[in-house]
Order: sequence, then C-alpha cells, then structure tokens
Amino acid sequence: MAQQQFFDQVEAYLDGELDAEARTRFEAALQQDSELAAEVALAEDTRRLLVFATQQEYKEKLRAIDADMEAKTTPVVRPLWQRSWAQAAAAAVLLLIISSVLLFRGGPSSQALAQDSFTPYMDMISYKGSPAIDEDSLLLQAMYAYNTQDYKTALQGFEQILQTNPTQVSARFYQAQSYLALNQPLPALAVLQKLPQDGPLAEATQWYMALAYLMQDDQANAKQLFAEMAQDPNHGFQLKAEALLEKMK
Amino acid sequence: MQKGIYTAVKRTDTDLIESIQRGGQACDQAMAYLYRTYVDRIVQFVLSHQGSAEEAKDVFQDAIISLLTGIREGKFAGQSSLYTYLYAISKNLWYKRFNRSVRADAYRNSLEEGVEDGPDLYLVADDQQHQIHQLLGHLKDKCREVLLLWAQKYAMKEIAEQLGYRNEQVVRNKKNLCLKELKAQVKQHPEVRSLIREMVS
Repeated sequence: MAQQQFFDQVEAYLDGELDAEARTRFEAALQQDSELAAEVALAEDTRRLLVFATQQEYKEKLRAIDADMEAKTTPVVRPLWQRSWAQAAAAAVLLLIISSVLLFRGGPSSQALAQDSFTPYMDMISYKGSPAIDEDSLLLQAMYAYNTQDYKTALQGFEQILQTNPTQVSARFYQAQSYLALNQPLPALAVLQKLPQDGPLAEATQWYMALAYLMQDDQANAKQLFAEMAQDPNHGFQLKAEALLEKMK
Repeated sequence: MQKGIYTAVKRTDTDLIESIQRGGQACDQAMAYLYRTYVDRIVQFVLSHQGSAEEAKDVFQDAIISLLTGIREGKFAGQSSLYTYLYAISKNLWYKRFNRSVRADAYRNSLEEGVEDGPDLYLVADDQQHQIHQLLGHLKDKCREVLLLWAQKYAMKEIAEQLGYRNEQVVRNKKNLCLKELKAQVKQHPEVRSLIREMVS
C-alpha cells in the first residue's frame, strides 16, 4: 500500500473507522514509519486542543444557564404608581422605617458603594473618540459608542467583534466596562474572569472584578480582592482599594 | 443558548447518560438539566464549607464537565447515581481549591474526609487558556464553529442545520479542511502541544 495512503488514513484510524484488516496494516506501518507516527501524534494533539476548547464551550454554556436562572429568580418590583393607594401608603411607611434604621446604623449599601466607586475605564484604544472612517474597524466604532455612553450599542459592537475574534482582550475588557456601566455585574464578572491575569489591563481587571462583586453584594469576594490590592504598594489601584475597604468597615 | 431547554419533567440517569454519549444538542440538554436540578445542593455544601455561591457554581460547572468526560471515556459506568457522582466530584474539587486558599489552615481539620476520586481535573491558568485560544483564533470563524461542534459530537446533519450548510457532505469536507488547517497551526507551536498533553489525556 502506498505510504501516502496511510497518511490519508490517520483521521479515520483515530475515529475508529478502519476495518480490522486496514487497522492492522495501519498499525504495522505505524511501528515502522516514524513520520507516520509523528503525524498521528500531531493529529492526537490537535484533537486534545479541541477537547480542551470544547470544555471551555461547555463552561460558557453552563455559565449562560446560570445567568438565565439568576435572571428568572430576580423578583420584579412594580413601580409605586401601579399599586393601590393603600399598598403605596404601606410601602412608603415601610420605606421610612427602613431608611431610619439605615440612617441610625450608618454606612452606605454595597451597591451604593460600588456605584460611587465605579468610573468606566478610560478609552485607551481610539485617541480621538470619533467614528471610524474605516468601516472594518468595528472596535473603533464600538469604542465611539462607549465614549458617548451608549453602552448598549457598544455591547453589540463588542459582541460582534468577539464572535469573530474571541481572543480580542481589549474588546472583552471594555465589554465588561459596558456591563458595569449598565449596572449588570453578573455578566461583567463572567467577562472579566476570562481576561488574562497578566498584561497591562491586569490590575484594572482585578479592580473592576472587585467592584462587580460589590455590586452583587458579595462582600466576601469583594473584600478579598480589595485587600490584595491594598497590600500591594505597586498596585495601580492600591489607594482606591484602601479607601473602599475603609468605607466597608 | 437555546431557549426552553429546561423542563420540569424528571429524567432518569439512563436517559441522561445516553444523551451525553450521543453528544450535540441532546448532550447540551442533559447538561442543562443536571445543572438546574442539582446546583442548589452544591451551593449549600460549599456555603457550609467557607465558600461562596459563585465558587460553588464554578466548582459544579467543572464537575459537570468532568462528568461528561468521564462518561465519554468510560470512567463513569453507572457505579453510582449521577447525583452521587457529581456531588463527590464537586466535594473533591472544592477540597482542592480550598487547600490552595488562605482559609485552608484554619479549616482543614473540619472538612469532610473520604471524598471519592473523580476524573483528573486541573485548573488552567488564564494565560495558558489564552495561549490555546490564540491557536484557535488563527482559524476563520466558520472553521472554528465547525470544529468545535464536531468536537462536541454534534452529528454532521446537526452541524449542517445549525450553521446553514447545504448537506452533511459539505460539512464533512469543511471539517476535514479545517482540521488540516488547525493541525498546521498546532505543528508550529510545540509549546502548546506539551501544555495540551498535560491537560487532556
């Protein structure tokens, strides 16, 4: 059998699609031909890469399921004007009582602290902040929307970019910023967790992750991250983290 | 993600295992069912062992992925119920993560002992994930989509329907071409090959 035929059978061999006779011949060739063995090893490594990528896909799907569950269990509060007058009065009294208690106890809520501390990260991509002339520059267009605080449009742009290039770190980082600006910490956190732990955006990523936790009232995780930043004298957000930890006491 | 995957109808372990082995959308639905049905119990376990709800969910997601691998590789053969198996993997994963955290020293003695071993799992650093995703990033969108669906054991017909290809043969040809392209990329990056071999058996 011609040598090239064995090379052509590599994928079928790994898929278990060769009949017994063909498999025996292939394995005999594999024993004697180091190039064929190298080709099989390459094919196996490629499949391993896909298995790993698949596991990441499954992780994304499970996160989406979780986000869907979270969205469906979040209670919807109707505006006051939609309720009856009696209900509205009762709600107002309750609000007064709660406000008095909070005032007495002192201290802002986690969400209020997070909102006060959040500032969308400055645009490091487009220097003029104007629409891109080149229509292919989706990133510049998305950043323009971001700079004009049209975060919903920005999100659409980042999503489009990430569909074609899921490794685009800048798009992912500013996607997270847009979610936070829209007060959506859960998807922001999911995005921030995908960003590299090193590189120029690492410290900012850590800061915004802590804010996202705080927005969700997850004080434990927020404090842990703020504490790490506050203890690092070289951290770009050290002072901010220290100040926020002080307010959280 | 397809809407309406979750159903309140109880599914048997046999049915779920068959769906996972079949792959594709059947596997996605089985995975969704397992997650929605059992996540609260795992959250309760992790919360009662110094963890947070977010950590619990992350652990359980990894446990489900481990289960999928275990079923496909024959490591899980119905020796226990799916829930028992998932619970054991989740506990083991949480124990490993907890030991890596600063809280471990104060809490080590009180953690449950005798957890079952699940399939080998690993936490992959983000920079390593980044390296691997870079390789996939070299592929054109359609190639990436086809290969990932194929790797998740979607049938050629399912892939054709999902991605708008004319028929199964077109998908098969596309898959073969794309696999060849990905192999060329992998060949040029021996450092990723050794990384992948450590991570995936």
